[in-house]
Amino acid sequence: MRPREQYLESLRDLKKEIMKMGVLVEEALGKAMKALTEQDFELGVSIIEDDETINRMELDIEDRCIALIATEQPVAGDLRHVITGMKIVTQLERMGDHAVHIAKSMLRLKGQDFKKPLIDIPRMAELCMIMNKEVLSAFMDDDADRATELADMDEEVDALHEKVQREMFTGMVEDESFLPQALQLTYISRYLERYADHITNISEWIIYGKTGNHVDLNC
Amino acid sequence: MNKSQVRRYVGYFIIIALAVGVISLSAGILFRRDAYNRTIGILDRANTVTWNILTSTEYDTIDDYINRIAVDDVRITIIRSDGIVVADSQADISKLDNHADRPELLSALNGVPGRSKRFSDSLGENLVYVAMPLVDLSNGSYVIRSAMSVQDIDKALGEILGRIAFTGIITFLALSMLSFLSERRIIAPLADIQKAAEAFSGGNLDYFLSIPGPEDVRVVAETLNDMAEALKYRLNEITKGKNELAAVFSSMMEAVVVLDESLSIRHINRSALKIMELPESDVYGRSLIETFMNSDLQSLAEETLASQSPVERDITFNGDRNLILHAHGTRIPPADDKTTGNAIVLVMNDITRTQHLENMRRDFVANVSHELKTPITNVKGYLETLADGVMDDPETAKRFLAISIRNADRLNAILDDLLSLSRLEQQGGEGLEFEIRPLDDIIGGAFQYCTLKSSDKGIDMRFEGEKNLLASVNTLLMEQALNNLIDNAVKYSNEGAVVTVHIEKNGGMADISVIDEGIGIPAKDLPRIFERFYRVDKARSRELGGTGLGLAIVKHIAIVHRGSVKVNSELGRGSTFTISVPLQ
Repeated sequence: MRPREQYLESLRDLKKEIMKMGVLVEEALGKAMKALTEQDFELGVSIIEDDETINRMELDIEDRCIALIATEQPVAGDLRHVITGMKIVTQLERMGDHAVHIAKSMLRLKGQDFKKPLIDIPRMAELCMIMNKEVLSAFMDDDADRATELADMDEEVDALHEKVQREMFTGMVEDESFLPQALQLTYISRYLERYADHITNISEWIIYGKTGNHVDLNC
Repeated sequence: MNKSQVRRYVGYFIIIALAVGVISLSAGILFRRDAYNRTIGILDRANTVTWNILTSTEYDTIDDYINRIAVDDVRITIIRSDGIVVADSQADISKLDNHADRPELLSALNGVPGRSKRFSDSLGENLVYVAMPLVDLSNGSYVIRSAMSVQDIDKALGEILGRIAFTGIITFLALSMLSFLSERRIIAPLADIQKAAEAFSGGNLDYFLSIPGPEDVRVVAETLNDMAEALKYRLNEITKGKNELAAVFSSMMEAVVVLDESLSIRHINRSALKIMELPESDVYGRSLIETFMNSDLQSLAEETLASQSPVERDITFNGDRNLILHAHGTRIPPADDKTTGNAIVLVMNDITRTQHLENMRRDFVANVSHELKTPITNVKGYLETLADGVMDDPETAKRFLAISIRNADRLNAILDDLLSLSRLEQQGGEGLEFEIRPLDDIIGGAFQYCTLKSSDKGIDMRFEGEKNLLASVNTLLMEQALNNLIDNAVKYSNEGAVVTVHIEKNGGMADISVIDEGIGIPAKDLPRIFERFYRVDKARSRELGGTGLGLAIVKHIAIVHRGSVKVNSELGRGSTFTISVPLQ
């Protein structure tokens, strides 16, 4: 195999590995939401345990990136792609942490009936998961346009977060006993909002990898 | 005529020319040598005859004598050993110079017969000389030399050579013609064969090669035709087999995905695309992980690749559809003994529905036991307490008995509901009495039942829509169904809310809707609320006195009326249950 082909092959493998990590993170969020809505504590605990795999993958992929830079000494676009990979796994790892935070909040809410059925939070999570899948596809295809489009969905998540926050504050004022639950739900909403922000960060890195320009989608 | 043909013809011509040339040349040389040898033989004999004559006869002057005995075309010369010519039959001896340097003389003096062919100055023409070794005559030793002009020989030779050359050229032309003709007979069919072979390799197996040429070439052509026929047959077999497999592959209900060693998709069938809601064009060559975005499926594929035996497992796809697939992975080893080139076949069954039904059955058994157990435990508990002595306290005893009766009633209600449900299910409407009645009448009847409860909560009951819509109904059952719905609407509405029963014609059906402004039902529960004992909020439902069977009964009542029931609900906004029954 010629050196160039070998390099491209390694880059493809690297991307596939990042893809796997992204899917694990997305699944962790899905499980966290399932645990929250169905009050499935075992599932909640398993998410916290599984996060170890995601953390290990981050380190593993970073090592691979470094090895690739050291051995192949890529330049220009090639180098950007490797750097992008490193930056993206950092974001993915943070997203995995947010899934864990949600699971922990869910465990703290143990046994409490929700004062009001959850509507907006599952909707936020749904949006996050769609964004997650989209951003991974865009990353695989190196599609900067699709990455840019995700900013719209992020705005939707932000708007829902605002709404949830307002509702929680009103609820807290009306009923003091609702305070602990409202606090956890506000946190969860906040984690989801951060989760979506990390996805737009990944979008930014995809755009950087493709064009070399830094853009800000989080404004 | 193409280049290779030109080259071939040039080759032929060179070979023919060389052959003809060599033959002509050697023939010429042979003729020449023969003619020369014969001349030498004649001269040899002339020398011997001259010698014999000279030794046996008397003569005065040797020169005159020689002149007398010599024949015209042979020149005889007698040379003394010192080179002085003493007699010559043709030249004047006085004019001849010393012959000591003549090569034939030198050789003859040494005792060897000398021969030479050269230009004679004295006679002015080409001569062949033969000298006889030294002979002793009466007055000393002499060399007898005879010579002959080669002009005649050369002339004759030239004539012969000319004829040889002529024959050579004729032969050359004839051979060239012959080779040209045979070339055309053999090479020309080769071009046809080449064309046919090209057609075959290009896939046109219907091409028929016909060659009228010589036997050998015709056999080749026939073999080629047979080969094409055999190929066509085999190709058809293969295509047929392949089409069959492709048809099986695409019409399979199971999702089938074929992956290569790097877990990229090589083939995927229609079911798989349908289940995963994927566009066909976008999938080929993509990796499994990016297409299915499922880590469990990915690890199943990885395990399959590493394992000798098939791997199978249930794979859950989180998301809006909660898809559950039973996946079965088999490794296909490469055809030859290579270590790379493995492929994987993933066959996946959509078991979401079966899993769902299984869950429903399990839930039902668990629910029915639980629902029956709770009141019985209560009754038993209170009765036991009574037996243990509380009976003596009439006040408490009375209270406990009342609780026991209430629980027994509840048990009774559940059993009644279960019985009517199973009756509805088993009869399917048979044996029931149907009468044609205006539906608003029935709604009015149902309203009466619920007035007490609704006025307790200050709920405003409204009726709107068309009157006098006639339908064939079993009044009791239809009232029960509407009761259940209105009862639910009242139960789950806040105080002072409005419950509306709306009736309208919808094609051949009457839609009776019970609309509330209550708490609503979460979207994920909507598909299941008509299941037996399914409760959105277990605690709340029981607290409100439900048996968990009300909506299941409504559904079956709608079915026995050859109608249906459906629900629309928004959390926090309220629900609308609609029974549709056929109009008369």
